[in-house]
Amino acid sequence: MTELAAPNFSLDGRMRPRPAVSALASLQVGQSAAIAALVAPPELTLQMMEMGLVKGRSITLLRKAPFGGPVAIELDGSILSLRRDEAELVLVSGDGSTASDSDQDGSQTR
Amino acid sequence: MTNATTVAAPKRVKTTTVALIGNPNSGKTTLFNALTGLRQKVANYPGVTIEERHGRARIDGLQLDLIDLPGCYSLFPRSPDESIVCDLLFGKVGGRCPDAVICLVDATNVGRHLYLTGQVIDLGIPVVVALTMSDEAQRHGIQIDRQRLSEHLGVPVVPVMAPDGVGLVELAHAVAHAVSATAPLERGYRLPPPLEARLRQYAPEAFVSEGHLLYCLAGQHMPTCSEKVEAAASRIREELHITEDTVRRYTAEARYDWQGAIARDVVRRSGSARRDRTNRLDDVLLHKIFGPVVLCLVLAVVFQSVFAWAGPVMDGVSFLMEDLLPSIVSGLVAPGPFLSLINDGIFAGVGAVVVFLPQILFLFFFLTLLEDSGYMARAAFILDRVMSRVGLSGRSFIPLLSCYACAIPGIMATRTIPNARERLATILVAPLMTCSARLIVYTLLVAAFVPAQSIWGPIGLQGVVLLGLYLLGVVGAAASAWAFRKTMLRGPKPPFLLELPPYRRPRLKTLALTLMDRGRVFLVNAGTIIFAVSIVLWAMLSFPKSGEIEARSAAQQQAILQSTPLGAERDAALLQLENERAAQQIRHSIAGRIGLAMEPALRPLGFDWKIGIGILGSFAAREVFVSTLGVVYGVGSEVEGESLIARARADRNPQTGAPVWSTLVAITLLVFYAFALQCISTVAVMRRETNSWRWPLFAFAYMTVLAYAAAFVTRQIGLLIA
Repeated sequence: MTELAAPNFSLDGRMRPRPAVSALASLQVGQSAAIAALVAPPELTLQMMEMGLVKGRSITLLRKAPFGGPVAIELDGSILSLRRDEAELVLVSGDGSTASDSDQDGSQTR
Repeated sequence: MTNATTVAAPKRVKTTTVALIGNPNSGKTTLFNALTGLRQKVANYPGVTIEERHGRARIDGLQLDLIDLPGCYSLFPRSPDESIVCDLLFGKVGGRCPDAVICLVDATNVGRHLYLTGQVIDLGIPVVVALTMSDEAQRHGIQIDRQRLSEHLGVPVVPVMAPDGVGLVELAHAVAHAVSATAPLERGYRLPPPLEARLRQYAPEAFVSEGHLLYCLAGQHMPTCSEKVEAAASRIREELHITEDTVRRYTAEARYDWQGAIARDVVRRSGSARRDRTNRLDDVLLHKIFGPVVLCLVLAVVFQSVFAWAGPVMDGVSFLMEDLLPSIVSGLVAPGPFLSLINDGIFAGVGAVVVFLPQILFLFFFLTLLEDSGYMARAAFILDRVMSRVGLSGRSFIPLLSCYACAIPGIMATRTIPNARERLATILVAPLMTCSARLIVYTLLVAAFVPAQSIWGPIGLQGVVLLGLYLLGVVGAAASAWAFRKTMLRGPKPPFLLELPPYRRPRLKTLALTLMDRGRVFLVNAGTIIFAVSIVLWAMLSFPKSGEIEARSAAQQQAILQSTPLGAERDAALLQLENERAAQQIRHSIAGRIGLAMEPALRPLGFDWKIGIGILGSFAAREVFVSTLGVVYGVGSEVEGESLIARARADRNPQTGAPVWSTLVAITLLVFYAFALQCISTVAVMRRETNSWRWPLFAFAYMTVLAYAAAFVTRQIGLLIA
């Protein structure tokens, strides 16, 4: 987990970060991952953090609304929705596990 | 009974002010209801408590003054309703902080709810944690070690099951005890060492607690942030080369580390902790195809039932207000201006409004059901994409849907929208939604002047026109919102971070309390504004009386009595004379003169001065239109039933002889009503919510222009087709 603490990537363009890190928006439905970094503008980053999107926590992509609408994620037992372009700003390090075998407490950084 | 919270209550008779704080959907309002027995809105949509409410609890000899606050996620407020919470906690209201805070923590989601609790503990106000939803947690196999939780937080933790009254006595005692305790609460989380060291060093120098200094560091200005404290804060930021945002981010991370550790220690899970029922329901309700289909069906059922079921009840109310009560009063009061005031002014005016009560209650019944069950947030989720096209977001959906009952609660519900521009755009278009007051004008005009012919099978022209009017409102709102967000309310697209609460069974009791509340607000409104307007309009239509007209009419009456033999013919002639007399008196009255003066402006729309009076009266409240027309067309207590429509139909233009009320005039008028802002209460609530006259006046101006233009275009198209 530590090598993900400061992912080495640039914010301009649609450049894909290192393979281990991808955007929350690109997860498959039902896939779980740990939050690696938030790359949103400061105010939005804070808002996301206060809603529980904090580095190291495990999230599961539950579903995507039709026509490019928002996505719903599960985070520590509660469901949160955010727009797809906002979900692009949440970087995750996926282990590719599916919802059924993920554990809520498993990926906390310590 | 193992905890410090059960220590015997200190002897105090003084009342204690206690604020209830918690995330949305943490069961705050249910607890408030249980503690106070006061009526209060509860709902399962994030942010339904839109105003703080006060109530007094007397429990086991203790007296608590409770303040219920809107749900919030953080003490760094983003939306107007979160600001209400902070202003109260920081003592910006009334210059004094509450004596204690009850922090609600949802047992099914301790990890997240502790964030806000931690922020409140930092303020140094005595805190008691009320652990809610423990029954639901147990069903999900979640056990909370409340003793350990209490030790970690340093505050008492009391499990409560508000609907059953479990834990309320213990909670009250814990609050009373916490208020008398003197030991300050300690920060549990640890910040990065350099920041931690400086907090420790500078806080005592500036005579504030570390928690308060940290709030100042993060840019949250509280009354305790004196110049000295601000100086200390900026010194720390300079020394460490950090900004307010960085401090907030460090703090948020530290808090989540801290509460994550606590949650791991106190939460015991057995079996799957997932909210299976919610997930299974979402599989259908948020399905790519079924989701939108279900949403359309839900809305269709709601509107259809409102119209179909409320109909009979409304008939009953209108019989009561327009026939039964006036006839009783007529038996008690001698004929004259006073009887006219009561029957034609008050019963006709207020009755025209009270008729809507069943419909409003039905609509709110469904809205509350949808909110309390948790479905509303899903509707917002599904509709966000569509609404973001016109610069709004899914968050605007709930306020706008409420506007179909009445724009006033709708506009108040916009407080949950964090982005100021988006909120303003929502407020400005809210009155375009077809509220129930418009519906009565629509129903009357459509039934009277749109032919009841079939277009295709069971689909009639009347129904299509009514549906068209509803769509007109939606299209008008969408276009206006888009235009505002492109011009004066331009700005970046606001984020859409919304919690989708677990589905919960709505409670009948809170449903009933909500409806009573809504009904009361509506009746008070009807009983004050509409009541006053009805009297003023009645007076304007009744005075001044012309003695000349009376004398002429009396002479003609004598002539008829002498020339025509007793019978139907004489009755008809007398009735016609009476109608002519009334019409002439109205022309002579203040309102009639205003209407005649307005006529040139209304002629391009095909309206005459009588319709003008109706429109004028409607600017106080739309529904007044019907009763005003009733007075204008001299529908007194001696004529009943369809006579208003019959008389309007028979009305001819004195110059051309053409009917005043054609289908085109009716449709033009309907279009005008679809767009015009004719409601004093809406203007007043806009003024309150935007804190200036600028926006209500703008809304009034743009909607009047829109209404006039749309009506004009409608008439021109209609003339072309004809």
